[in-house]
Amino acid sequence: MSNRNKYTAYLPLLTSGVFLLCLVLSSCYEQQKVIEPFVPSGNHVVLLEEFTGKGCTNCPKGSRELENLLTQFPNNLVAVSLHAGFFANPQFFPLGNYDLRTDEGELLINYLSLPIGYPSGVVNRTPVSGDIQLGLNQWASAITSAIQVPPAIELSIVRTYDALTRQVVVTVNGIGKEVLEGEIRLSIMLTESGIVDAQDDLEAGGIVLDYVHKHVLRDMLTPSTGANILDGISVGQTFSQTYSKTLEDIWVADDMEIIAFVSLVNGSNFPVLQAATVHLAD
Amino acid sequence: MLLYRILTLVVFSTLSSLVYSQEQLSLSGSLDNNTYFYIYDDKIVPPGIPQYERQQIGLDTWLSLRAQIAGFDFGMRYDIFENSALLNPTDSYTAQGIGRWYAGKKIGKLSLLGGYIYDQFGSGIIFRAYEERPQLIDNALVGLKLNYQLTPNWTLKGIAGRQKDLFGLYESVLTGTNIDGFVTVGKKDKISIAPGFGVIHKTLSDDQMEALAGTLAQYTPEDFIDSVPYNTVAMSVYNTLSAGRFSWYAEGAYKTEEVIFDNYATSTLWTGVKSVGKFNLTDGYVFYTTLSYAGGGLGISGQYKRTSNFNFRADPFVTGNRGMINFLPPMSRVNTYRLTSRYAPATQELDEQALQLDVRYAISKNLSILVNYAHITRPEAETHSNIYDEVFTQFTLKKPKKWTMISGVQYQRYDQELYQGKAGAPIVKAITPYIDFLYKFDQKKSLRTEVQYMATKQDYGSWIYGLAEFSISPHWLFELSDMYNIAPSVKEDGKKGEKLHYPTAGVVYSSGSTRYSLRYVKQVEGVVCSGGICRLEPAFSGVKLNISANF
Repeated sequence: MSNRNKYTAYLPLLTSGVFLLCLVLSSCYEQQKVIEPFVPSGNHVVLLEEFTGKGCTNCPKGSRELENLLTQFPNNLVAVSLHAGFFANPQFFPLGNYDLRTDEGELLINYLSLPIGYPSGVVNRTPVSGDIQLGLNQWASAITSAIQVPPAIELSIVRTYDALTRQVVVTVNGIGKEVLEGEIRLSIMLTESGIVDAQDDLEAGGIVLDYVHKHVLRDMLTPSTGANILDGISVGQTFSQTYSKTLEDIWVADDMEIIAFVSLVNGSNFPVLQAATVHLAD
Repeated sequence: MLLYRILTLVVFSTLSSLVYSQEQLSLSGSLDNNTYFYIYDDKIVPPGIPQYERQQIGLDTWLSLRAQIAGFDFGMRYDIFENSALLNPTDSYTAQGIGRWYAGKKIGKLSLLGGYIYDQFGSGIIFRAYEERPQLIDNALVGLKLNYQLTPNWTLKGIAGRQKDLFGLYESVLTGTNIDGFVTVGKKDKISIAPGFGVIHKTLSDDQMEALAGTLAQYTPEDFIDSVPYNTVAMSVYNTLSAGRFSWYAEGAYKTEEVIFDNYATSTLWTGVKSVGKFNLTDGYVFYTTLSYAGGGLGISGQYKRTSNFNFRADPFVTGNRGMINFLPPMSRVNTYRLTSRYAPATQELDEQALQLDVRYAISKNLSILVNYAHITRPEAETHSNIYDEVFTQFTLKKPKKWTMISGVQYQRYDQELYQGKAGAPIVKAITPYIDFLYKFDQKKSLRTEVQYMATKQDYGSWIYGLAEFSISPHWLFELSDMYNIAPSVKEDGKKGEKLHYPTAGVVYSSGSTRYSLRYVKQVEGVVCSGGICRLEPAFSGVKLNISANF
């Protein structure tokens, strides 16, 4: 091969090599994203609904992450664990003594779409990249994003509980901070922690007979998808709704919480605007 | 939608003008349709699956059309998913639209292709865009591909775009280039090498980075990551050396640091509790090689692969078979019989060392033997380190034009807890003898029977499987089979499982390149794998109709 032909043959290879090198080296110089620890502020309280079941071996990991997040955001996060779906069904997972499912939980798991995998949770009923059911890794970022948005409605809960009659009366007061159009719904949940029963736990090596279940949905004082209280709200407009319930004998009032939240329903979108929580008993 | 209408208009206008230029237009297409009629069986199907509860019928369809004229190549594929179980086996997925389109042209040494692109670099370790319909894997690169013929033996390829995500796109941007060559050396060109080098560059979007930062910002000091790169580069160098009867392929790949999710890493929560699974900032590598010899009736093939932290996805939050940019070669045999394929090991992206040896020998024209051995470990793991072993033997004996018998035994050792996430599940050890007998009555009629027995005390216990397939060439095939849980294992509650039958009956009609299949199926839950990518499938009960056609 003549020198000129060699040059002609190798020039494209040389050019390609330079191009490849550019592609490789272009990643060497970049301004990386610096990670700053997130310190929550403001009064936006975010709702995390975790879907779980006693037969769900991966779910306790989600419950541990839920406690982790509550520790980090004590004033900005409320959480509920809904035992619903296949893994909560004692027909297929006859574990322990209690059936922790509720009619409301079974309705909500379909309303919010079935989880693709477990652990799975919904943050403020708001999709992330088109998915409303989020994997465990996505909860923290979804919560921190939501916390930074000032709430459109502020909520407060007033409750009275009579230990003798086991009746609780809950009043939820709210005030609009922004103009909103659409159906505003109020949901009130009763949760209980400290329920000792069996649970399949992959990280613990299998079935744990004395697992402590927390934030378990026991009942709702409103319809499952919320009670329609307003068709839109304006700045400064207030509302007040009162509900009452007599607790079941098996529930331990001292371990129960009341969670209230409002959502804005527009067709298939129903983001939670604000949440609040109080202990049920003094 | 508007973009698709404009595109369709442009495509058909171009076609029309080209037709008038008297160039020959070639049109072709294909149809792949699966329709499922769900029949609930409370013994095998878990409750809560919407297809069984209320939807009753599900559908997956891919309709492709292609037009070629005057060097132009256009294509389009329409995808339909109605109450489909492909995305989530316990839920239904309904969507339809243009799943693929492309337009290409060759101009001298340059070939260009725009649209949805399927391609790979080397064996796919750093980049592979492909589709696998039974698993709903379709990670086409949506963008542009340029191929330049540097010399008759050297090709340079460049790609740029974003990865497909169902009917949308992942936000990260992918660019890459690949050079392949072929060189003969030595006297009479008996030795050849086919070297190549590829590089893929991934850039996360600002939104992806904000989501990732939001998650990492919550980590405790023990697990905290100070900074995260937007860009990741994966590069590989590979070569095939062919010398006489020997062939040796080797590929080494390296990926620069990026944040990936490690399923097995331990993290410390703010509650003080330890949890498993966290994001890690790490680089990764893969080394893969195969050496084979073929000649004199003997074929020997050995493979070795070492993988470390080579999770490479279009989005850091996706898992399973979503968002994969690359493809790691599976290191176990692809088994085709019902029971021998029941436990297939999924490729491990984070930590895997695997060895496979395959020896085939044709004793005569009518008798051959095969022995295959696979061994897979996780060298960096403290537990679940020895995860898969398989010994597979096969004898093939035939009487030409009369009958063929294939028989053998398989031994498997399968870490079910690791591969399927079943807490506390013991290692499955199974021995499966099998026999497959094909008898030709005449040139048109034949009968194929299979019998397999899986002996194991773990998981569901032992199984027996029988199949009879009667074929009337060229059109008809009738099938009847049953998979029977002949010796169920003892469950955790101390009770023995129920002995259940899982029958299948079907008929297939073929005419030319069109195939119709109708089958009544009861199928036990299990893992469905394709190329090392696996997913758990729940049990199925109902009727499956499949129509596939090429035109």
